[in-house]
Amino acid sequence: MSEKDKTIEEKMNTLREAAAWFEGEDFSLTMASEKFEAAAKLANEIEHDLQQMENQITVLKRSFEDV
Amino acid sequence: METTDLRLGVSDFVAVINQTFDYAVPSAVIIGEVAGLSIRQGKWVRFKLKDDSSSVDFFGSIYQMNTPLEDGMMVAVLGKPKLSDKWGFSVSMQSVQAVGEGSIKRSFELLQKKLEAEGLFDVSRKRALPDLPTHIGVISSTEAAGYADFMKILQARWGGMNVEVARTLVQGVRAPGQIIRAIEYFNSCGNPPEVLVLVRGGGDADDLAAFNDEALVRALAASRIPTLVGVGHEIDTTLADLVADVRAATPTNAAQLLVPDKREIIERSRSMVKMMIPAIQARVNEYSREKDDLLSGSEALISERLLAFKQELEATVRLLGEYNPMKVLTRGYALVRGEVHVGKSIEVEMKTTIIQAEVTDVRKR
Repeated sequence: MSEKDKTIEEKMNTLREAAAWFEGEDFSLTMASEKFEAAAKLANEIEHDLQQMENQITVLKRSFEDV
Repeated sequence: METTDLRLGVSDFVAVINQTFDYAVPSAVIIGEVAGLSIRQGKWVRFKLKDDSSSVDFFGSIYQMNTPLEDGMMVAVLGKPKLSDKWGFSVSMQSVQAVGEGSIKRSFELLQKKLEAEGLFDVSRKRALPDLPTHIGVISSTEAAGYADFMKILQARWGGMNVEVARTLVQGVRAPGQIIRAIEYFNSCGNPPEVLVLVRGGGDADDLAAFNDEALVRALAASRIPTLVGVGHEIDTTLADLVADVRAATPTNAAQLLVPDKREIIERSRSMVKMMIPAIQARVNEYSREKDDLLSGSEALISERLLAFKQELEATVRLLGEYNPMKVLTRGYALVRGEVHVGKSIEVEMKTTIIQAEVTDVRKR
């Protein structure tokens, strides 16, 4: 699944994993730049997705009055 | 007797009167004090409603008595006037609700005790709401301020949801029936919402009495869909609140409990990225310090080695100086070259002079 197809939750999880990598023992300066750029891009995508999401509100025509 | 008067048999008269009632007063909400309450065979309820000058008989089934009644209680009864061919005039009860603070409180206490004993409010029955619902069912009056508050906060906090709204009354004796039908409708949908939200803004005890209706409380308890109830202000407690899977203090709070705030998530994701920079900086600093330490360690090692070489060299030079023959000559010794045989010439080198001499005698010591 490409990053674009992921849900916001999945993207947030990926971002959390990236943040954990920076704090973890696997951290290496060699990969840090690449990882940082990917994380920044992901954060922008999350913001964009959240700003674009709109609710679909349907007021039911059905009546719930006494029959 | 006038010839224009209707002449009817008793049954026809009863039928005409009932038709007249159907036309003139198909149903009405009658408010009064309960008197002479009796429940027969655990099924049939009879009582009178009275005020200062009048008294009217009411009849209904126990299932329509959706709030506990006691003599002396003030209630509003939704009913249909009827002239029975056997029992005379009475109002057929469709639903009943306590009115007035004292009666509402008493009714609330009686019903709460009953439903509590049945375990309807047990914590073990409570279900969690979905983390990020994509389909929600809202039950409220679209005219109500509480609904507007809920929708405003919901829209500001989260998006991408399918929100279906069932319009119902949220106060009065007809409200519980409508809300129950809305709950049943959502529960019977082929694609039901993941959560049902019942909201209503603040009001006095009479306004919120609909949410203490027994049938409504049971319908909420029976809902297959998890329920979130936000009725009234923070200080208000209704039985619908108590039976809900999650209780919100207000409609605004209901929206806050239902979905996260996208502004907080945006801020959190930005913050996570910002927090990566110190990690990189810390590692760069750590490597830089390590490099500096290694360099200064190397420099010290080189200096130490150089000093050792220098000291060794000086010692060697000193030692070599000791072996220099010239140094021996300075102490008064002489260096003799040539064949040591009588008659041969030899060279005698001293500190300041060189002497050519002839050997005249050679002896063993």
